[in-house]
Amino acid sequence: MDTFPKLLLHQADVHKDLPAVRVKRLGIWRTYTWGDMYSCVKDLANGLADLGVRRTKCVIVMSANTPEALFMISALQVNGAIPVPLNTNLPVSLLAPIIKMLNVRYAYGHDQQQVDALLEASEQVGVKLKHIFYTHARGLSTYDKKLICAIEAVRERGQAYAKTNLQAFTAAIDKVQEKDTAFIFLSSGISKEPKGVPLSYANLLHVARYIAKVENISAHDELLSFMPLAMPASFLYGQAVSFLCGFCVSCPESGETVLENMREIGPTLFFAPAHVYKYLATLFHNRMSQGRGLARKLYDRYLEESSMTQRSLLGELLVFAPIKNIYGFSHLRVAITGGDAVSENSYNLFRKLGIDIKQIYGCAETSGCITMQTAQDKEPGSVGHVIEGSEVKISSDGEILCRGPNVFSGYIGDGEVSAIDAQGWFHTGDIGVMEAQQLSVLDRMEFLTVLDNGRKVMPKQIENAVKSSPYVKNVYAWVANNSMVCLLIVVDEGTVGNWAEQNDVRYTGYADLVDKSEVQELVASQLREFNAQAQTEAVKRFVLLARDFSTEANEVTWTNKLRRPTINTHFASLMTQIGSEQAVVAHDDQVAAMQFKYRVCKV
Amino acid sequence: MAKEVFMALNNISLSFKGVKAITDISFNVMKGEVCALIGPNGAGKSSMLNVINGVYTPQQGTIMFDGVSYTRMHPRLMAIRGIARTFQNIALFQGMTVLDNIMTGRNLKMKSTFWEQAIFFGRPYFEEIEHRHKVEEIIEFLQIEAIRNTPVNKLPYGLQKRVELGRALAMEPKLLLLDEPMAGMNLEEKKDMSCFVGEINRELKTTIVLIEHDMSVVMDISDHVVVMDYGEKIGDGTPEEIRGDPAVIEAYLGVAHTE
Repeated sequence: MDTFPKLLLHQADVHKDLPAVRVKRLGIWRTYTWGDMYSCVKDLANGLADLGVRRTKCVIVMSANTPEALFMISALQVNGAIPVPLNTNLPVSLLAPIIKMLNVRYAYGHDQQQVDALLEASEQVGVKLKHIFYTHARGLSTYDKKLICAIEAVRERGQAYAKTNLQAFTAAIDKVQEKDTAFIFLSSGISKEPKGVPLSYANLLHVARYIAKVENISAHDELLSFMPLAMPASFLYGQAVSFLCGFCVSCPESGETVLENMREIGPTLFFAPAHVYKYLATLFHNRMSQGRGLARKLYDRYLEESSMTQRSLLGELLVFAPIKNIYGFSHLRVAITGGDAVSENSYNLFRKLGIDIKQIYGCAETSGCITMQTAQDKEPGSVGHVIEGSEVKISSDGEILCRGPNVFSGYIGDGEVSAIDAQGWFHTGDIGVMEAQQLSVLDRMEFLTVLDNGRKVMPKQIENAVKSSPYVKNVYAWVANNSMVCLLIVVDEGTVGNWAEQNDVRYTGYADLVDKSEVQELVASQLREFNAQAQTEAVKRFVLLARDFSTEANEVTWTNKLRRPTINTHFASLMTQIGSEQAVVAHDDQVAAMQFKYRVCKV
Repeated sequence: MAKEVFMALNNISLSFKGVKAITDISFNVMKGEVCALIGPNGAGKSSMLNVINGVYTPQQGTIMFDGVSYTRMHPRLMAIRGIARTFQNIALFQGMTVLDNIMTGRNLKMKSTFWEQAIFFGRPYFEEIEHRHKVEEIIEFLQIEAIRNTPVNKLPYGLQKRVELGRALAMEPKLLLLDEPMAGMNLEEKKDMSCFVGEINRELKTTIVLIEHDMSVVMDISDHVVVMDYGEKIGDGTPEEIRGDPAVIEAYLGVAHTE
């Protein structure tokens, strides 16, 4: 059982009647058992084989988290084709080069939006797609029926195909090998153009087996899969670990209903990037700060005395259990985060609730995981120790290098010299330190700046520290004129809005809120506090931005990592002016298509 | 495809005591089209909608709807015959949830009696499931899953408008009357609403008559425009024809407002 198709066969055998996938449709949760899933995947795989989707063909998958997407991907893998999961709202300009690079002939889109994007992009690069599969027919009635094909029609075709090709499905499963490519992901590429990252079953299963073992994951666990499919982690947990252990993956009704669906499902496993934890903690902070009377007193009292290890029964009963219930954390057993570090405030809040967030460090190139914290040994600030079977070493210039069965074999398409050196080490491009088997990640190599006075500044460290303020949602740090640390700050509308209301500061909207001198003073006071405590370089100036960084405009990745070069170009006019002595600077925002007058604030 | 006249208004006149609201208006609405009624404030557009769905009885004129001619309309009768509408000022049950509000749109389709529903055994139970299914389809169509259990008065204006549209859709109407569906909305909400109106027309094959002031929206989504001024029809044609009609331009479209 070394490939996903074989694992599916196994689960359909031993857990035939246990739930495999759940989805909320028309207000009701519907369940597919492993047996149902097996027959869906079988029909689809046969149908796809009949349509010519065979081995080593790359197939773009642009879908939300739906059972159909998972079935489609599993069926592609059975046939030896390679799914390439992309974001549902990927702009055509980014989609087109991918179609060309991977020589794509088939694609799957969730609905009209993706079908349109695929058609436009393929036309741009002069590629003629053979088929585009889709789930939602809405709006597609006038399209070329030879080109677009409903997933239901593929299933029917598969059923007919199976009548004459009895053994086709099992034969296809046998053909799939451990070393075959299971997925091609796009590297999150915070500094460069995205590249294709192929991952084999062996890569992903190496990590999945480790996580399943250390966290004792079984068929009775539950997961709500809500992260975009373009993230390798979605499949690491939603497919690799699930197929391995046989637990049920639930799909949210839509992107906006995730919180509600969390409460309904009450998952035991929770995987989310740091900004989701931050969002939950902020939401929680805001709701509690509006509490009054006895409820507020009880909350304050028990929150004060509670900690991860010491929890009073009464506090649990009166305060924490109901709170956890609201967020769907009642049954939560394993909470994992990847990407950026969870800020200390949110981390502590979750610990007080009895939820211990474990940090994972990894990237697409390493199947989403290199190191992981475990319950036994956790050092705050570190990202845990290296997973079993893999190795990590710090190079002489401080870069983190990784080697092992989880590391991919090399990028696709760009012809660049391999990212893996002669000894098999993958160069992550991150700076880190290893202390007592625990790895800490500092920043990307290329963003390290040396000041005129000789001191080193790592922007990410400053950003992470500043982000622990509940008023700050997002922050970008850079060094102006080689001497001054400056920040672009996106404030949290909820918390700052609340604060403004309580302090009688009137505002009409977000842009007006950040323009208020009271709000700027509030952030400045937070930064003064930060400067007093910090071991890093002190922050000198900042600007409160009138909008958040945008994923559509490529300023942040889906895990909320900042894409520095894009931000540098988008805010270039603002960033060059901040160094001068002017108090108010003008900035043409191409993304928001507006001109803003920003006030440069001094800390 | 030869177009079929779905609704024909013949020489409709309506007055309230001495005030003439509508004077001798005739126009046709084709099956499957989006027809926009435009005109300055007080031109009689809302009155026209009220005549179509039977709230007002015109003093003169007949209405042919779906093959049957009427001189007197009645709102309930017209609702049963397949005309649904939304209102200029939102008319939802403010304290009820989105789901319940849309469910009220199914009222006419429910066959069980008051007493049967009170006991909730047998027929009403199965009916409820069937109607809830339909309502959930509408919720999915309008992408309001996330607010399904939220009381309407907690929602922003744009979403309330969408809920009202949902309630009208719950009647599975043949003809949908929209009274300023985009009034007071911001650009993004308008865009969403135009998309939904277009999709209702294309996907559900519903004929739509709407009143709208935003000309870019009207020109974008309608197949047919009727222009009214002081209760009289001053223009009738495709958006292109209307744009070029000097009478219309003078009365409404292109008059430069000197301030």
